Amino acid sequence: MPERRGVTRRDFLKGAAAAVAGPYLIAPSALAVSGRPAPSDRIVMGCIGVGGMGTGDMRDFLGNADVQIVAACDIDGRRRQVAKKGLEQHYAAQLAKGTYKGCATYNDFRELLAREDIDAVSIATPDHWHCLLGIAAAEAGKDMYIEKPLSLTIAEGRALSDAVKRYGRVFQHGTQQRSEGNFRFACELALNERIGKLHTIKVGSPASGEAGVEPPMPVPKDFDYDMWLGPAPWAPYTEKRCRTPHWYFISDYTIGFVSGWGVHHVDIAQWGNGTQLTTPIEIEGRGVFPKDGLCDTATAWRVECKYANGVKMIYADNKKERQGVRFEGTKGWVWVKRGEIDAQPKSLLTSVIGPNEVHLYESKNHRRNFLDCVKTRKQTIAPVEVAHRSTTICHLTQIALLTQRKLEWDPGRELFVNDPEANRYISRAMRSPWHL
Amino acid sequence: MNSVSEVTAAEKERPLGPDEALKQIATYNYGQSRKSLIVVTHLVRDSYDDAERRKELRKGFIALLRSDATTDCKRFVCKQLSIIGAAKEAPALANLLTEEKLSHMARFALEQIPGSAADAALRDSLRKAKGKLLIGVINSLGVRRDPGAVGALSELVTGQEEAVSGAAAAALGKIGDAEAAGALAKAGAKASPKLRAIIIDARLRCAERLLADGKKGRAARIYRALSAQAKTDHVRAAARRGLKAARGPNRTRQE
Repeated sequence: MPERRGVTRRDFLKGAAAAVAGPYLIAPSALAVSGRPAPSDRIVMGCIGVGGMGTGDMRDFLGNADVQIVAACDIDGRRRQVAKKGLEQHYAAQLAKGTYKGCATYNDFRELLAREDIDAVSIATPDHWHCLLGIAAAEAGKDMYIEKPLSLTIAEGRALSDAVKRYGRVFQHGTQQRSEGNFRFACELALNERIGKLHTIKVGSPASGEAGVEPPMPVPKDFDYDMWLGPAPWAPYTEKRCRTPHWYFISDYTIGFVSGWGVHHVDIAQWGNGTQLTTPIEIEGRGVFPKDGLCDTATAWRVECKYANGVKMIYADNKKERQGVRFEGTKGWVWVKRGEIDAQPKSLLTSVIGPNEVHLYESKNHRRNFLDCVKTRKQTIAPVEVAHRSTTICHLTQIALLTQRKLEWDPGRELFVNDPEANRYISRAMRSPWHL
Repeated sequence: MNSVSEVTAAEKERPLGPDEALKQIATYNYGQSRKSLIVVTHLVRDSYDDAERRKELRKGFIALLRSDATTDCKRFVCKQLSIIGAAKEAPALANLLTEEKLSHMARFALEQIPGSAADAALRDSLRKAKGKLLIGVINSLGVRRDPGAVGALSELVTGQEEAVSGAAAAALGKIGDAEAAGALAKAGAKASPKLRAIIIDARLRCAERLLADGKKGRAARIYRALSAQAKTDHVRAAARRGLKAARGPNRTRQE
């Protein structure tokens, strides 16, 4: 058994009084056999939302020896059981034992967050739940990894950012492109003016899809539909409403791929423009929306934004602008997407950022970066205010598409200028009892 | 002469006028085509600079809310009123606050309508709404940061129903004026552990608001009290950070 230190990492995180293991933690000696850190030095995690994306995040966290996942929460009973089985099989294999019983399941996230033994949560639900869950996690003193996009509305994002700062929580946004070298390098080329003075950024993203008119259906057994709807307006159950990919395209739960996919590249544009704590000040554009059916978010769009630093950003679906982010300067350009980078002049691609130039925060693994920051209490590569600002640009895009007029935005006050009607899109009333 | 199919196709493409569009949506139910609803959303959007058209649309929407149109139609209408509703529409929306199926969407509109009429509509319904609907109304008053609601919310925060008390505490925290801060301080002493946690968060929010309004001394008093009372590290740390901010960069001693 590894030697027990006087003050463990978990003591450090939570304070001695709070570092009492809950009933679901296994005996401290049990898992030390595999060469992993002792349980008291592991980050104890719970996963909220264990569908496709949430399961992917959970698997990635499981791959870290200093993580112990003790709980899975989902409003779908089948998913809860699949997650529990997967976790217990994983830990049983590590212990070289036939069985392991150490994963609790919850339908209601509040029960998971009430557990004092949990240090951090991974949140991967539909978008309309992200901020409510994040705020509840902050209030419960948990650190959090939240899938993108951050919010359903600008007001939600602001409330979450304030709550994370209020309680001093470590936060990571699931914009994992920041942890890929090509994206960081492209941003460093732009920030160091290797392409001359940056004047234009072009961003291309996949667009939303459509579905036909869908009839109401009976709610499946062991699926808590009322909890799935949460703060969203009531609507009858129909399968596509709650399943991937269609919920991604219904405006009661998301603003579509304008944020659901696009925030990845918008976030990179912000990074390379050096504007990650602000947003553009003007936006105008047009979009195409489904003419009927269940889905109602933009299937095509193009907006132009202007930043206070004079840079123009064009944000469009990837039929109008090439997928990825292209920084254009007075002497060249650099374009980047997942797994690919190109530039003009080509020599930029093999150039080295010098010691006296701007070097951006470096992370080689997005979830690992979160875990390291949970331990060190340092800021992550995608902290909450940065996440809020990147997601706000997606919301500004959506509002410009809905209003079809040129909008002026005050990033300081987070209000549209001289357009009270546009300001009505900043927040949405939540279904009771939910509130920010 | 055109064939029947050509005439039908042409008719289908003919843009609907407001009266016709509003008539069509009156029978809408979820699971049906949304084409007529989409026409109405376009009428709302395109009337931005047309005061007369807006007036006409609002009048039509209120008529629908007062008619035997379907519940789903009324939900849709509330959503449109969240964009173009004005004080005149507040009473009709207020009538829906006590209706189980429409209360949320009435708030969806009322939360966005500027001015005192919407505040008054929500405040008046504090006496009429029950259970979850009451909680929703309280939440909306918090979002609107209505100082006129502080008195009523202060009574609710010490009431018998814990869920209602919690909502009232959270709303007071969002309103965040000195009166709300006082009510929260009093309520905390007698609260259950669950309610106390909500009150603590509300007091932190209140202090942030007071700080933003330049009332540093008042904010510092809240932070100091919470720093002493906190039972968890993250709350204690939050209070200490707040206290530091309230004291300002050059202050090293307590105010």
